[in-house]
Amino acid sequence: MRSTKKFLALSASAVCGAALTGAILSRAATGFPSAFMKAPPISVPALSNMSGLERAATARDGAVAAAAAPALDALTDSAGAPPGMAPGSADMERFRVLLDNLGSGRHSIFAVPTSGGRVCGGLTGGPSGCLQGFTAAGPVDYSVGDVDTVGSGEATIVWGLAPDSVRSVHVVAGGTRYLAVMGKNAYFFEASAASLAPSAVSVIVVDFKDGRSQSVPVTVGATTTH
Amino acid sequence: MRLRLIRACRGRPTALACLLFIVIPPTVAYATTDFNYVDNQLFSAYQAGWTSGLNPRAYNKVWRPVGNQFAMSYELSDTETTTWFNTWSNPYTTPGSAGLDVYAGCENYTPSVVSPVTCRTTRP
Repeated sequence: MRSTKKFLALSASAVCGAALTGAILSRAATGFPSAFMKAPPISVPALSNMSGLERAATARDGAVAAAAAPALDALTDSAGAPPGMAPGSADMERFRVLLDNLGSGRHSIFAVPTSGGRVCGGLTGGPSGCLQGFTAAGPVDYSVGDVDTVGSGEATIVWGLAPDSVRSVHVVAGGTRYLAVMGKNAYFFEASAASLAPSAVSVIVVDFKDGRSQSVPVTVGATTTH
Repeated sequence: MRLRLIRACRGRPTALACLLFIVIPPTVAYATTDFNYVDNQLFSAYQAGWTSGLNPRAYNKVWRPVGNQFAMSYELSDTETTTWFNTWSNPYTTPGSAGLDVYAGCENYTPSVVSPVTCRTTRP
């Protein structure tokens, strides 16, 4: 009886030890808790929910594509990419301008699908990025910044890609709500005053075609220096 | 000048050497080197990585799991910085520094640990 109890205790201890060792080893393989790695699930895939990419190509698409090609090359180049994060090459035949002649810098917003099933978008003269899709917390993509130094030249810009379900976007900056320019799958806002820094942007309000509305808090401010 | 060099090289045994002499210098002059200044790292809350030197940059790029806001910056001086913030694009790239010598930086602009983080830029 006593030996049976001892055997059971030893067995339980061995099982627990093995489970603990397995857990430690699996975490050691990634180097950090898996909770840090997990990205939010994609609720709206970009490629199948951006009908702006489906229209016929125009001469303007070709002209903007030629100008944006170097930026897209830099964006989609897989050199140096961590495993699984390269977006694939841009399918330039399907490059489309979503919004044109924007703000004081006469920017364009474009999008192009990739061989990796993503949609890469960009602001001419500004940043660009690749999306797998939109999430519950991120119903639209957004970039907030200034194409030159804050307080000179162009003012603060907020822009991003959006799925077909989005009707309009408002940007709250300095406590005031502004309606962004909305196109097919893209929006753009430029502050009217150069003195309005990116840190003044606090919320992006997304209005959906089904009547729903969602506020996305934005926290931008001072960054560290080198 | 280059035409004269090409004529001088034509049909000579040293043609290959001459060709290299003509082709390599302009190639080197316009070449830039792409490099990861942050490579597959774990970034704690608000941690930033910067290039060690000042140079013109052709782009500044980050790969990190989506849902984490990053600030991509060029620092011209202690008081002049241009920054773009983004959360949902991966990779995400900001344009060149217009020939200005800058430090390139990427910052985890969240209160959470983010990993893996890789940031890439260029130098002449």
